[in-house]
This record gives sequence, structure tokens and C-alpha cells, in this order.
Amino acid sequence: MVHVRQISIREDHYLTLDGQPFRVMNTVKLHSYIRWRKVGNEGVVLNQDEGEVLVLNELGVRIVELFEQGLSLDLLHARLLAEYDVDATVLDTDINRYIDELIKANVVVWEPCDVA
Amino acid sequence: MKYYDIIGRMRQDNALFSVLLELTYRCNLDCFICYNDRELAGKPLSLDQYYRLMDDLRDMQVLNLTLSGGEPLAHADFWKIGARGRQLGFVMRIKSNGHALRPDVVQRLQAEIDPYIIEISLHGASAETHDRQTRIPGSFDRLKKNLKNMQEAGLRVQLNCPLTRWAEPEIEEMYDFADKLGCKLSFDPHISPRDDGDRSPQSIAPTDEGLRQLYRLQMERGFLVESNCGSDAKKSPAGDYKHCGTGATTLTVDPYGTVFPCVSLRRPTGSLYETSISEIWHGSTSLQEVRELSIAAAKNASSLGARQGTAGFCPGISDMVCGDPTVVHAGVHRVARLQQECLDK
Repeated sequence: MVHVRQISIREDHYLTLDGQPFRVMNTVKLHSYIRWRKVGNEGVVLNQDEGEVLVLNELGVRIVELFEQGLSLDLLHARLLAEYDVDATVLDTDINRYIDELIKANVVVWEPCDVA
Repeated sequence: MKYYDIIGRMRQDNALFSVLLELTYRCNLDCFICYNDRELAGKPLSLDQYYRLMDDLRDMQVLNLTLSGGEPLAHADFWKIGARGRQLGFVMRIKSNGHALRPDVVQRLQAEIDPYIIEISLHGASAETHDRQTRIPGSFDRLKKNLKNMQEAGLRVQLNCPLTRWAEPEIEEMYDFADKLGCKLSFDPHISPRDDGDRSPQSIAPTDEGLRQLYRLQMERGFLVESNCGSDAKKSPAGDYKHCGTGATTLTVDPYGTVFPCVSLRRPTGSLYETSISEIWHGSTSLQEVRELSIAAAKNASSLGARQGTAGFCPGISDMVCGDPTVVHAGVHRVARLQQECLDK
């Protein structure tokens, strides 16, 4: 088991260990000051630190739900692909864009992760 | 969709969003204007019942959980209830008189409950006035110390002043007091009767001159009046067919498990000793009646014209004052008139 301290960009999916490439299972987690609930198909998120409220759409709610369950980015992608009738590349783009937005809004942060 | 649109839709759809728990009516102060019925008897909810209630509220997607009283810190299980609320992901809010919030208590509060906001009652800008109302000598000086410490600890604090004729000569000083602390200060111009029907608190309701002074100062500060209803839904521009969130997005639970539509409208809608909060929310006929009354109240409130959103019409107070929550009682018309006078000037 290798512990990767911080993954700051998603492009770092592949790292090298002793000359051998391996896949990093990136995870994203909610900041500790985030509180949120589902309202119908949407979500209301409160950033307790800043007092800011954010409204999530249906995809955003599902992404936050799955991150809250501790799913890695790869598993999240696989789960959403199974749930939605969507092209894998399109979904990947949507997820990445959504995560960027959530990071900018201080809702989530990249999580140091264990890799096999 | 914007936040206020969602709040408006929740009100339309009767989606429970904010719950206030009156943990106890015990208090370390003795405020003359306290609305609690401290003689009310009953079997207090157990810790297990609170845990079950909070689990249900989490499953119902309730976001805001307010711990209130009396003084909520006077409840033996305050810390356990608060910590469980945090663990379940609620936005924790605490309404307190601030008397017990010493530095060590504040530190524990941050560590174990991590409240989003603490709302503290302020009754004047001097010890003489504040202590006259709390009837506990030294309460103002102690509150001042505690507030300073809360601010230094980084807690988000809001001061709430139920405006009385005793406090009205000190409105400006109270604003200064709040400014120095960096706190928001909110005034409520309506003093409600006690929950047992006793109207003596209204004997010190603010005078016309006091309210004029309040609105003049608020205009100088760039806002005319504040909305004093606790429900965020009141601010929603969308779906306003109900007057407020009472029974539509909010509930209040008293220390003995009786469930009310909100903190002001004391019409019982069920008991947690008999049924779950979810069953009350979805099946209570009296709650359904309240939602319909809220629609009628909204229609009557339109008589306030431009002051509809600012005069502080509360169906709960109307119910206490004239037995009908849909009636805009005389006190609201007075406030609306005085606000309009200030605007016209």
C-alpha cells in the first residue's frame, strides 16, 4: 500500500512507483463545514464557514451523495454510467466540470487516498 | 433554480426544512416578557426519543435544527442532543440567553456541536435596562463578557431584541453595541402574550415614538425594517400563496413531545408519545388546517399593501391576541402605519 499525500489535479491518474505505472483512485470529500439536504431532485448546500448557500441540480445531488459514501472518482463514474443513459465521455466531462464547480464553491476537496 | 425559489417551492409542497426543539422551559433568567408557559406539566422526551426524532428528521431531509428553550443549555442532555444533531448533518442553530456561555462552554460548543449560528436575546444597552427585563442582577455585564468571548472564538452570533418600552430609549446604543461586536442585531416590534394566554408581557410593548425611532434609525442604516419571522420562506418571492412557513416548512416540538406548526402558532398537531414526526407531518388533519389558514392569512395580509412583508404579521400572535390566525390584528396595522410614515418622510 502506498499513501499518496495530495492529488491536486485529475490528470495525475497515473503515477510511477519503482518505474511501474499504477492507477490512482482519486477521491473527493465534502468539507467538514458543509451541510446539505435533498429537496426533491435538487439539493440545498450551506457552507457554514462563509454562510453561503448553493443549489445543486439532480446530477450534482447524486455526485455529492456518492462522494459522501466515500466512492472514488472511478467508481462514481461507473455508478453514474449505470444509472444514466449517457455516453461515457460526455459523462466524464460533466463530472469533471461539476467537480471543478464544487471545488471553486468550497464544497468539496480532493482527498489524499490509498492506492493499490 | 435559486435558493429562494426552492424555499418558496418547499412551502408550496409542504416540505419540512426547519425544526425547532424547545428542549426545556427551565431558564437561568426570569424575563418579564418570556412567552413560555413555565407551569406547563408533562413527561419530558427522553434522550432516546430525541435520537429517534432526529433520525426521522434527517430521513425527511430537514436541514435546520434549532435548539431552544427556555434556556436549551439547561437541559441535562443538551450536549448529547447537539452532538447527535451535528453528526446527522443538520445545520445546528442555538437560541440562548447567553448567560451560561462562558469561554470553556463556548469552546466545548464549537468542538462538540459546531453550531452555524447562536441567537442571543438582548434587552437593552445598559445593565439597568437589560437586568430590569431579565430580573437577574448582573446578567447584562455577564452577557457582555460572554459575547466578546464568542466573537473572539469566531462564533457567528446574532442578537435579537424583542423591543419593549423599557428598551426603546436605548435603540441607538444597542445598534452601537452590536456594531462594536460585529454582530447583526434584529428587533421584533411585536411582544406576544405568554403561551398560557397571559397578556402581561404586552404591557411593556413599545410605544409609537419608540417604533418611529427604530424605523428612523433603520432608514439611516440603509434598510427600513427587518423581517422577524424565523422562516426563510418568508423572504421568498416565489410561490407565496401561504403567508409563511408555519406548518409548511417548519415545526416546533415542545419539551413534552407536543408538535406545533411553528414556535408562535401554538395549535397542537400531534404528540411524539403517540406517533412519529413523519406521520404527524404527512397525516395530521390539524396541520393540514394550519396550511389552509396560512393561505387565508396571506390573502388578509395583502391589505397591508407594500408593508405586507415588513410589518411582522404573525398568524401565531394573531391566534393568541384575537383567536384567529388569519386576522391581521391591530398591532400589525400600527407597525405598518408607522413604517409608512417614516418612509413618507
